[in-house]
Amino acid sequence: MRSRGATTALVLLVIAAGGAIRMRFEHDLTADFRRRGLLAKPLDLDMRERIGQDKWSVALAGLRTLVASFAGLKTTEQFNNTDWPGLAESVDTTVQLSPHTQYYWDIGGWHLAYNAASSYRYDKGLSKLRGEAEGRRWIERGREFYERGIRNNPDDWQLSVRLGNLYSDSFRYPDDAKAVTAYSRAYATGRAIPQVRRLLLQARARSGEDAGTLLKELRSIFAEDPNSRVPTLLSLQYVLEAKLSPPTDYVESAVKIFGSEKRALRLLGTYFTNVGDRLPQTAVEPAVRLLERKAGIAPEDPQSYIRQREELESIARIRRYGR
Amino acid sequence: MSRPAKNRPLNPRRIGVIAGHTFTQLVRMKVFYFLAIFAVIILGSNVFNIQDIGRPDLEGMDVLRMIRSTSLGTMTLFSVVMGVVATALLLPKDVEDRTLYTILAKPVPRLDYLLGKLGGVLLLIFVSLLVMDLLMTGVLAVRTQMVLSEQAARVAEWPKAEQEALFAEIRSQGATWSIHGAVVAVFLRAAVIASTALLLSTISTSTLFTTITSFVVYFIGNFQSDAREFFLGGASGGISPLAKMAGLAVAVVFPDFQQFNVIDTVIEGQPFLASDIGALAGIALFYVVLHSFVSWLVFAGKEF
Repeated sequence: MRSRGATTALVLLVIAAGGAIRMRFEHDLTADFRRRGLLAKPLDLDMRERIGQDKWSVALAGLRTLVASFAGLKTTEQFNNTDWPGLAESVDTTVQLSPHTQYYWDIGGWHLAYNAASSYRYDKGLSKLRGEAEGRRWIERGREFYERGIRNNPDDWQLSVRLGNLYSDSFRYPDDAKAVTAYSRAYATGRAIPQVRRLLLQARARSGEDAGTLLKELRSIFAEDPNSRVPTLLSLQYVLEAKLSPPTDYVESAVKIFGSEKRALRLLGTYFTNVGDRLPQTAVEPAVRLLERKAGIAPEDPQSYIRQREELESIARIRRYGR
Repeated sequence: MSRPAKNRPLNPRRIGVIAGHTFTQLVRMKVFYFLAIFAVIILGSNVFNIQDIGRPDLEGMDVLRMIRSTSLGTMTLFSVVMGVVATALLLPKDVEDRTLYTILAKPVPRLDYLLGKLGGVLLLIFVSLLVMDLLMTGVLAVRTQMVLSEQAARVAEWPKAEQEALFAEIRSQGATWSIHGAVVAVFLRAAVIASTALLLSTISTSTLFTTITSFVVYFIGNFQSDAREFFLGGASGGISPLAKMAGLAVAVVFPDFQQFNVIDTVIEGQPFLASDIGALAGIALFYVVLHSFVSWLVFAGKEF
């Protein structure tokens, strides 16, 4: 029979030997899991202060996503109470606990750039200038949030699309060059839906890229995907062709693309009145005027796209610059 | 003249009998009542539905994620608590009931006794997790179908590719093979903590001491990888050799529980490969064998 001391020494020896054997394997496995994004970074002390000692312990004990879910739920309450600083903190906590959940980045960016920004912008308690400045600041916070989400999830095309949409939004200080970068990143993942290629083309058109290059890309999209012959892209085709060689007969050029005068008026008219889209409008107005004249619609008529555009532009101006 | 069969340890039948008895013993403690609580929790998680925030495209997704996180969170809690408490309770209870003396008076090797006890606890955790997994899968399947139907009606006009992308996103938040893989990881973590508790219970005679110490080991185990990194490389500048040795001691003595936290990324919707489950199973098996062997080293020398 072994003595107690000998048993203790043997036990310690076996535990140490076992630890030494597994240490390298565990090190490599953890490194592999971290590299592939299967294991998140360890929580820091700053996080402990934000979520509280008890939740921090729970998060450490393998219940990190559960704590993230409840932190995410908190944002809904803060959204309902328009507690934007609190919401910003909650969404930040949520994504730190669960950095690979696209939903949290998506909804967080949405809250910051759209809901919080609009709330400040149209806050009657703030001066017009202050409201505008605050609105802009929250839009920037939303953009940064999306950028962080993309850095954490480089293969996620949807976050890049959301950021591209935000940079393209005419009511949120658009930046077309950055929108092109965002959509390009989404497209480059190779997983994006066909619509993303169309969104990228539209962003490039807004940024004023060469009409010839864009038209070549547009024809390639049409050739590869017949479903992509959507009204906006057909209208863009008309514009790009008109940019390359101004039409001698606007109606004839439009009919060549849209098939009939009636369809040309409807689709080109809708494109013309889509003020928020900010797509190039070369030769669109004269074509719409001529098509309306042929259809017997006067510019003062409520049905007239010319009149509708004027009205929508003034509304957009108020939304953009005033309250 | 026939010789009596050699009393070799690691007899599967003998271990199986003790495991079966331990399982029955635990079932009689009304452990399965927890499944009713789990059912209430999983049904309650259906209530967390965030709606009408101007993003109909995300509607329903949060509920699916909530079901996944609360289910796997509850499974983790249950399995860890059960792994610690049930194991810590068994040896002292057998001593108290004097069952241990009856068993050890028979030609039962102590290793078989320990493995049987551990096996019974693991069987109980496995059966419980299996039932919980089935419940979770059922609720997720029904709820995913509801979300799909709601979204299908909303996006009926969308192009096919865009619809499919949305549906694939919804399905990835439902009942996937990866989520079952995560349940396996929950079980493996429970097996490691149960074997740790077994080791501690052979050293101690008090259930309370074993329980508290096992939970402390569990929490330290969630930092173990940091201590290991501390020793193995990363932190070199300004670190004293003594501090590095402390890192080594923690890395060698405590199990690494953080590696089982891959469950979190599975809840986030990431795929979990069979090879990853295999690697975790290998690690867990190593721990169980090591802890059982050390438990036997201690237990074999004990006098009752």
